[in-house]
Amino acid sequence: MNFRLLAMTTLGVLAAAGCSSTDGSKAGELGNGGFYFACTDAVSCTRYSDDAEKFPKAVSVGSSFQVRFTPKSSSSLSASDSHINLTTGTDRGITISPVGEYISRGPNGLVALKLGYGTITARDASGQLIDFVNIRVAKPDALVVYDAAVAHGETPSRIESLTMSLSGSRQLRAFAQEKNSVLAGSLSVEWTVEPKSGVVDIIDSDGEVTITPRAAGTAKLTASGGTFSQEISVEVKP
Amino acid sequence: MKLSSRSLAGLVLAVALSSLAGCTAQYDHTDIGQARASVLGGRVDRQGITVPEGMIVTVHMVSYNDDNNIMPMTLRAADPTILDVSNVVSDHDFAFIGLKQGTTDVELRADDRVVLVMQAVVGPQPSAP
Repeated sequence: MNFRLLAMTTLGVLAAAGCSSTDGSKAGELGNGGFYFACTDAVSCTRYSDDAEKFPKAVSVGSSFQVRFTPKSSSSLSASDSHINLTTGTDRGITISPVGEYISRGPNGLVALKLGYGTITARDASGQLIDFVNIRVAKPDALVVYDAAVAHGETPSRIESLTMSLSGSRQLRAFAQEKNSVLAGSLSVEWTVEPKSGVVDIIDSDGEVTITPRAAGTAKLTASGGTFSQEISVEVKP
Repeated sequence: MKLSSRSLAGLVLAVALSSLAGCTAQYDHTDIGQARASVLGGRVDRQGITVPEGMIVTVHMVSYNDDNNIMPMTLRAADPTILDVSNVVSDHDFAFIGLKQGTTDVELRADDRVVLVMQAVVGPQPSAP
């Protein structure tokens, strides 16, 4: 066998294998292209930051995310339409739209609103359907509160109680889980504390809460999101 | 009664035109292919259309005239708030998109007239997962 031919064939196979393993798209139901998922918040999005490693099966109700579509090069769309950022609205003539009431548009892309299976479509400039993809909107059965300082890519530990001294503050975040699996999507988490003042002060910003001790005592911190709440007991030691 | 040559020519022309009109191909039938159901089911056939809410069912449909030539056709839901009917980028493929629960008719138009009416039902999703 010709050595050059063998080498080129081997390189071609290796390159093709590399491409398929890094492509996080999910093929559309009509086979006309691939859909990419992205969200940019906390642990639930680490795998889904920028382009997801793989398109998730489920997103948390109440969470937001982005989807874009890349048509297959063999489709009837022009090459200039390929690899389009389709967070919201129309871009280069192709529109990403949710179907029905399960997923809607929001300020940060798409928002999962109703439990069930949602559908996201990609249409061309004339309104013709190019392709579509389904994703399940799930209700979390747990909110996992974790230390916001956890390193990127690390699996965070669940925090169920917090003991603090008067000298330092802590930052916490939370992600949604269903049957011990992380649900995708940027979940809007609201933080509250009881008593509202005296033991700790909290500042809630972009889903991250900063807890600053004010006096020795106990308080109850609650994270709410995706129709689920998680309580954390906080003890401040003198 | 004696016809002038001009009247006779007109009569011949009228007969010729009417016979030509009779030869114009008319709508004959529509072939409905195997529907591609959604993950939650759905169907499109001569008995009607069923689509779960929030889902899409696609089908290949072609209308023919009596010369067995393909005719241009359009599909339209009587209530587009219940069911959206969209053309797919591939030829003769149509998508039935269940927007909200309800029942509506879908009209198939060929030759600028309604040639087929199908009842469409958008039903609930089986159960919240």
